[in-house]
Amino acid sequence: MLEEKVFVSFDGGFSAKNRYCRPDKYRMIEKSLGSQHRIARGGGYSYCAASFGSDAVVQDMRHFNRFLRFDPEAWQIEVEAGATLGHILGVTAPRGCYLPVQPGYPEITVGGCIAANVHGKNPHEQGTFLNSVLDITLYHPRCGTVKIDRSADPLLFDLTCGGYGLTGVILSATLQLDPLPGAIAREAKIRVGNLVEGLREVRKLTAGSAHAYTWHDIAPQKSTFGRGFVFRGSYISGSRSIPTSVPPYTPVTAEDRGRLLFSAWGGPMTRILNSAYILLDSSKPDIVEVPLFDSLFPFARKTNVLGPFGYFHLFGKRGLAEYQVLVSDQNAHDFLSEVRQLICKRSAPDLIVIFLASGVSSILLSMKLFKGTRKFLRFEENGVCITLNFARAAEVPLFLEKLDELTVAAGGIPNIIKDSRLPLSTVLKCYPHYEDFRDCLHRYDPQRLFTSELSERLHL
Amino acid sequence: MTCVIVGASSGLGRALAEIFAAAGYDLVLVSSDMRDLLALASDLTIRNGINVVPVDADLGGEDDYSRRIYEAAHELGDVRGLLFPIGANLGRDNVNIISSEADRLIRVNFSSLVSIIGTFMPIMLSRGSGFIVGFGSIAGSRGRNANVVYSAAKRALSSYFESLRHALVDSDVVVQFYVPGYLETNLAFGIPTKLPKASVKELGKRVLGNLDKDFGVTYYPSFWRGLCLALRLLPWFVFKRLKF
Repeated sequence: MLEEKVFVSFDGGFSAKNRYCRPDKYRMIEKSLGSQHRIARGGGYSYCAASFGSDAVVQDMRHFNRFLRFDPEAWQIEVEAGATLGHILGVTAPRGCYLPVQPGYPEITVGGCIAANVHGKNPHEQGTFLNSVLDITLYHPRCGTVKIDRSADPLLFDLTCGGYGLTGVILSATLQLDPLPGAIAREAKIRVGNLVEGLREVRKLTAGSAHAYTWHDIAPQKSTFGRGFVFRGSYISGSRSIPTSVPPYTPVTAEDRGRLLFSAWGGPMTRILNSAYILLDSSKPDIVEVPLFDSLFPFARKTNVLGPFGYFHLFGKRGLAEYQVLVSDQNAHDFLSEVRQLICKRSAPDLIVIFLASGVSSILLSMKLFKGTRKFLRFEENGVCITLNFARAAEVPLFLEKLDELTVAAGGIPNIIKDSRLPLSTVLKCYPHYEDFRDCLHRYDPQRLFTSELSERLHL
Repeated sequence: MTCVIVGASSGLGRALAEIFAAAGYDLVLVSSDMRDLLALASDLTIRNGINVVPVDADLGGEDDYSRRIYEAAHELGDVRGLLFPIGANLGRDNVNIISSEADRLIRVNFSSLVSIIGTFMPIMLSRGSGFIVGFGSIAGSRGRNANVVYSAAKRALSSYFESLRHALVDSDVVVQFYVPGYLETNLAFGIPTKLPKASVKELGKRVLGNLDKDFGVTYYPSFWRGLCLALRLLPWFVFKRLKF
């Protein structure tokens, strides 16, 4: 039986009503939907509508979250696609191992990680999620259930990793784990005054660190634009204890992220909140020790002054816009300079800035180094990963179009999974393997049974 | 200590398996699809370090399941109890249902339990203690023109568990019968219900916590007791007009 539900992208930028089901037996996944379009869904943390829309039947895979096999000698685990990163950490960490590539939220599922080919905090050393994937068990009505890896069906394996769920239902995967480097992370921060300084420092600090990234205040105010921190983490080996369980936390979902009717971000409030964050963080020691869970998933537990509302809640119902782009090392400096000009030229003079909600509602920018190889529609490249967050407002779509132009000019690639409006025209200019991906997908699935708003928008 | 769970692979059965595994029970898990059972068995073994023996059985079709379940339990030893979260319904379960489908519903929801309990009775009696827990349905409160055979089977099950409890009154084998309302399972998925669906995890925790309590029959959530009583007491001239 199917129910109807309104789904919303995590950024709040797109919503649609879809029929959906929550299979809890394998035969329910195989139950014929005929020629109906369908798409698998995990936690729903994609910023775009990658797991709903397009009148597809949404197949919620979260009942399929079981551990199928654990090989402690080979450091390998086979899990169903609905298993979450937090769940996996809870099982593997007490056994002295963990997944090295972890995007920053514990409720993200393995299936979602594979479909979006996500990255973690240190893509410069660890690359993307597919580097941890040894094999995938995939279901498609036309082919049945198949187990694929880099040697048996490498093309389908490549299509599926970063294939946005369009090759079928990922049922399970075998993942390669790494030895746990430590149960405690040492997080150090350095204050920086602008984006250039941040880029310079993160380039210096990435090698030899478990992770390194920057945080910059990009509220449109010339005097403070770009101030921030560089964070660098390392693990303390031989730590006092191995965590035996995941600490309690209240998950934020795409649905409840927008429960505040108004946005706290935007205009003067952005400057106030960013200043408060900088003041608060500056008052803390430059080096702190945090448990592994908090280091891997910094947004999960509410250890901030904002009480029951975390960073994402403050964007309210209207939501946020995230623009994440990979640019080459040589072009990063110029790209950042263009971004600064773009944001700051729209700001009002400093004297009256406090009183006017002027300019685009830019909030933060973050950078980290990246290593990878471009293929199909994967967000992977050697260079610098730059992420910008905005409060969603009327002027933002036009602003994002400007960012698209800067990205194209810099030869960069925008992250498809992070932008619910990214137009086909930009993808065509930035992803040279778009046609290859589309052709291979259509050869594999001529009926194109698996669809979403994302696949519709990008004419896949 | 070992517990047998019949109808274990999803919904309430899976919740019970996870809760009892976390409490340290070895498990015999019975369901119709070995793929689901193997996945659950592996998961519970990895996470809890217990032993699990999966038994795939078509309780509506085959005849040999009681023996196979018994042998699996014997393999683990120290059988403490039997849980029966099994249930199956059919969309076309009305007064025109064909006999083979009616037979199947009766076997899955009623006679298979009688057979399995009968097979385990000697060892439970010789042990002198343990628990047998059945799960009925609010649908069994009163016959109506929907879920006709299903609700009859659940009402028969209620009577059987009452007899079982009476028969075992001189032993320390506790017999319990839960009558759940709507639960958050695929059995109720897509069906609009005027009253909220209860959590299978919470019901599972309640079952584990109540294993030594001789309450006989209980409703979950408890407000269903009053509602079911009211339904049974409705005069015919009122009840016949209800369409639900």
